[in-house]
Amino acid sequence: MDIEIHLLTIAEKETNLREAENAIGILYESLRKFVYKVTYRNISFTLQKEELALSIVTEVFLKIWEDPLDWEFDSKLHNTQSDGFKAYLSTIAHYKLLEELRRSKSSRENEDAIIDDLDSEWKWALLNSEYEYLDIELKKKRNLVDECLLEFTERKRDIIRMYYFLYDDEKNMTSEKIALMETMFETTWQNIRQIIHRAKKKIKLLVEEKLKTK
Amino acid sequence: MASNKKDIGKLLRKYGYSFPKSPDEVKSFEEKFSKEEYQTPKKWPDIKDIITQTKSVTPVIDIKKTQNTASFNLSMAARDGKKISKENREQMNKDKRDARKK
Repeated sequence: MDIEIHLLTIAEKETNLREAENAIGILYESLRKFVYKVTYRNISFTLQKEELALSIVTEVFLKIWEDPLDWEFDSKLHNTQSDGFKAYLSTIAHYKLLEELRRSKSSRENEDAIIDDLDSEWKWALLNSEYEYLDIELKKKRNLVDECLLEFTERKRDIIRMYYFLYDDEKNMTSEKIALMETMFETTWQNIRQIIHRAKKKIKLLVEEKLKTK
Repeated sequence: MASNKKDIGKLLRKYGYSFPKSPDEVKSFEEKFSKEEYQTPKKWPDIKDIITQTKSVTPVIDIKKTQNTASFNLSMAARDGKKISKENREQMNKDKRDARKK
């Protein structure tokens, strides 16, 4: 499938609506499952999982319809059009989900701006050996992180997964994300921090133990 | 961050704990979950509805994890456990619409 040709066809919707509708239809049919899958996996923290995932799928394809030329194939970055475009769709899905959560009235009502501390320990840095170990371990369907998560209650697991979802490389949590988590789980940031800290400590200890016995 | 340390973010995105954002993260994600069956929606929205937005395809999402089951139970008790009748439902909706107008 030549994705770029379909995107160009969509861009010409003003002059040829039928062809454009056909092109978006082809992209939707072949890629909606992928978008649904990545989104569904990342929303363990709400009761309306399927509805929300489906809503994000529609938002993603509406964005493609409205701005089809925002993505283009770059041979330096992408091996194939398909993997590059999927990465782009997944990135849109991430931001659309975040947007959807922010749109909630209750999250806007939270006016207390809490700022995460600058303690670098809070960021999730791994030694090279730990990173390499996890890079192999996490390929497994049931891995050390999943085992570790099972030791927490369902609610705490959701808090940890939400933290993964909001995690931004090497950055502290923004006050907006903190407010979002507090609203969702109806608890304080202090409490959330403790849960995340315990999870991180547990995973780190397990990795260290595995590396010692290697 | 010290140079001998690596951030976990890439691993989270590669292995399904966050959204994959680069082609190699997509590749790892798909390799890991290629055989995993997800319950796909019974009915996908029609692409024409999405691009023309003739129908509302976005549900109202309650982001709070917990639901107030206590108040739900009280409402049920007040109705002696019965379902809300069609007439009552219409009246309730009318009241809600009137209240919004004020």
